Amino acid sequence: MSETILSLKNIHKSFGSNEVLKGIGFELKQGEKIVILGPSGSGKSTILRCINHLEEFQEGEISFKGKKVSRDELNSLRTHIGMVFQRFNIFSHMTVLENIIEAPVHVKKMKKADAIELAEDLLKKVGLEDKRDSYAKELSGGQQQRVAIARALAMQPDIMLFDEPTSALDPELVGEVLRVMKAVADAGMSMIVVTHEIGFARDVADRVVFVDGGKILDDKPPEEFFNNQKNERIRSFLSKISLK
Amino acid sequence: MIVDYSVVINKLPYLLQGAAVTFYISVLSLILGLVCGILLALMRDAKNPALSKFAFVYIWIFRGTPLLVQLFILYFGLPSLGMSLSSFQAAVLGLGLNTAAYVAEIIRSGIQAVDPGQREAAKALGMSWGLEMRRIVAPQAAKICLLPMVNQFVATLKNSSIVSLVTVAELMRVGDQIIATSFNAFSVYTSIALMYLIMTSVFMVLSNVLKRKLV
Ligand SMILES: Nc1ncnc2c1ncn2[C@@H]1O[C@H](COP(=O)(O)OP(=O)(O)O)[C@@H](O)[C@H]1O
Ligand SMILES: [Mg+2]
Repeated sequence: MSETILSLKNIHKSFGSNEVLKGIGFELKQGEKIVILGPSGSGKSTILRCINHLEEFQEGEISFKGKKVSRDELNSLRTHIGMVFQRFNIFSHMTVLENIIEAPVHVKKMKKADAIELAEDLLKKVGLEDKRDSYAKELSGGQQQRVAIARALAMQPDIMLFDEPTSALDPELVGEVLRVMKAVADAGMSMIVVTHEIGFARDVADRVVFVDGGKILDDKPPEEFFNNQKNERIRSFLSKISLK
Repeated sequence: MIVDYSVVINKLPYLLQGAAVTFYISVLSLILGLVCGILLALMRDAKNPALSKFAFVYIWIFRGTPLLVQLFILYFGLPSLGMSLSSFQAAVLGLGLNTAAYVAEIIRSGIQAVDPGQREAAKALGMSWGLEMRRIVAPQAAKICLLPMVNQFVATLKNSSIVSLVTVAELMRVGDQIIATSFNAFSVYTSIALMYLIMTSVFMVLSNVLKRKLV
């Protein structure tokens, strides 16, 4: 079995008096893909945001490659964890190419020529080599999200986090983004994906984690999770999202 | 004949010299106001409560009291504390510190208008606070701030006429001195107005050039 790359232990997180995460714990192994499912407001985004410390949490521990992350290593940790957002967040004042080389050049101090070479290679992989000089406002949502994936991959991270990457997309654009994510998965990336795309979960996930009310209700491989689901609450959730 | 522009022609070298002083004082005050304003805007939103409170109080006082009173405190008031400034120093300092309070508010609202998602993406890529500010926030906030900033620059240039009251020989004061001997208030003041108009127009034209470059 491969080694654990990320582990969450008993994470508690409150916004003011509202406790949003009530003891979240799981492990991600090298190359493993976890899909997180759960109703809106259950704390899925908050889990991802705690993992790369965009949110602080009050209790519990997150370790990366066996080491607890200290406050002054945050920026360095984030270079190892790529994140893709629901709303793409492409830097609006930069071209596609500039978006992708920004962090490699300014954070990782990669030579610009090397970064451009890397970016062009990634643009080919996400099928956007002809858009390298476009701005976000000239691209469709699906294209923007593929740029966002390329931008995160350009840091050559160890883990990729996806927070409902297709939820803001028109239905006809979902497929192109899922295909790119599938390719990233097939290349061996360790991934945590929050999504309502059951097909993707069945196809790609090694484990499905179900979150409700800030707690993990279930955590098992997709065949078992979908085909042999005993929990009434989860069954009703699954029937609701498959109706959409 | 009261409306007689010949006096303006005769005294033109003095008026132009006054206009040059006005322009010089304004530019120095703007630079001071811009630098201090940026610092205040960053302090205002800093995590450190002492910094944030200082900036709040500064902005509150300088926006809530008349510029003329601020100038008088600097020029006539400070000597009683044993610090005296030349009229020119008092003018630049007063105008600059006053402008800083307004610039700070403009920059602060520009920063707040940047989509938080852009800043999250920057953080998630491992950018430090400074890098995020410089590479992502500043260029986007600059576009938002440009128009109110030009308005502020024009206001500072016009407000500089007030420093004639702390005896700086700028355009307004030179005009007053000419009127004191020639009694040609209408022609002298209208000529001064025209000179201010030319200077503020230069700012607006420059800002349009800048705007076309930015957008
Ligand atoms: N910045 C915030 N401030 C206050 N409450 C928040 C904040 N972010 C999220 N929450 C609350 O935390 C809960 C979980 O949110 P989230 O993790 O976004 O859920 P999900 O992604 O599963 O829809 C929600 O009740 C939400 O209102
Ligand atoms: Mg969410």
